[in-house]
Amino acid sequence: MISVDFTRFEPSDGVKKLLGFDEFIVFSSNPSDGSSGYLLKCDSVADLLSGLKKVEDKLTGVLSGDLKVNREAVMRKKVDIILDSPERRLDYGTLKLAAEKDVIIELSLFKFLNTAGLKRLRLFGETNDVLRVLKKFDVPYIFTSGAEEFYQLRHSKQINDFFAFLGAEVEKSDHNKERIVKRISSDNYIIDGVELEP
Amino acid sequence: MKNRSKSIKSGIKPEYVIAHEWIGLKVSVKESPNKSEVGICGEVVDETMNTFLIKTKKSLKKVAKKNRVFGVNFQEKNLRINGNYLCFRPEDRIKRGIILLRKAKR
Repeated sequence: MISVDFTRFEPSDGVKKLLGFDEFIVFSSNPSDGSSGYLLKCDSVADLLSGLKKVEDKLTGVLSGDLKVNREAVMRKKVDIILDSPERRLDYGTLKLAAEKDVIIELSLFKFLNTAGLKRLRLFGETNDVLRVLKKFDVPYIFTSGAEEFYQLRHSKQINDFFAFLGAEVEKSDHNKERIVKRISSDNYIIDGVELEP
Repeated sequence: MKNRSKSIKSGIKPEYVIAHEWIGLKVSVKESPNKSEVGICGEVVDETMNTFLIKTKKSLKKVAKKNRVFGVNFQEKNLRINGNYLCFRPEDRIKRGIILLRKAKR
């Protein structure tokens, strides 16, 4: 199984082996640079729709704190992942839709690193609620570091152990990550579960 | 008439194998948690929700679909299909297969 992390910056090659990852998928705001993913940051539905027009055939992640934007993003076929941030809000209906539309929900570690005390307590509570709904509707999800800088990177085992402690199934996250990697990098990939024989 | 049937056939995309009828297709087991199943090849003669009945040269073999990878020649392409995406009743295949195809991101 391929071990992958999703970041918002390009880490150096030496870091991959140190942290136990085979590959990093980098999300950047410029759709035409060489990165594997397109990060679409938007505060309104109009921004989301205009941003989606710029991207063709690229792994697209939406980063937004607005409930309505996330709900709209989940319904769009071009959107692959709803990226995580401290401001992100997801409701019951959005998560249920994500299961139907096969949009992956990212749960990242970096937002816990910068918080303490009551804020961190609330974050844990929200994450627990989200995980409960993800399990209920079998929503595809991934656990990542979500790092925006070098100091937010963590070893793959640390990330998995952290979310396993919260009661999540790490194997499903690994399976979903492998699906994404096959989708973007494999020449033999047709759809999930169907590949050309090499 | 022959050419017309050929063009109708060639209109089906390879991924539609998930929604297609499997009885009559020649399959082979490429990967399986049970190592004795790997290499079984033959024609599918019957199907249930969780198994294929494959007619090999010597006998009939019942192979589970879950956690197996099947090789099949469909639309002149050699495909590898994960059996987890085939685990439904044959009578539901068209409906469920089309739902899967609509959900799929390519």
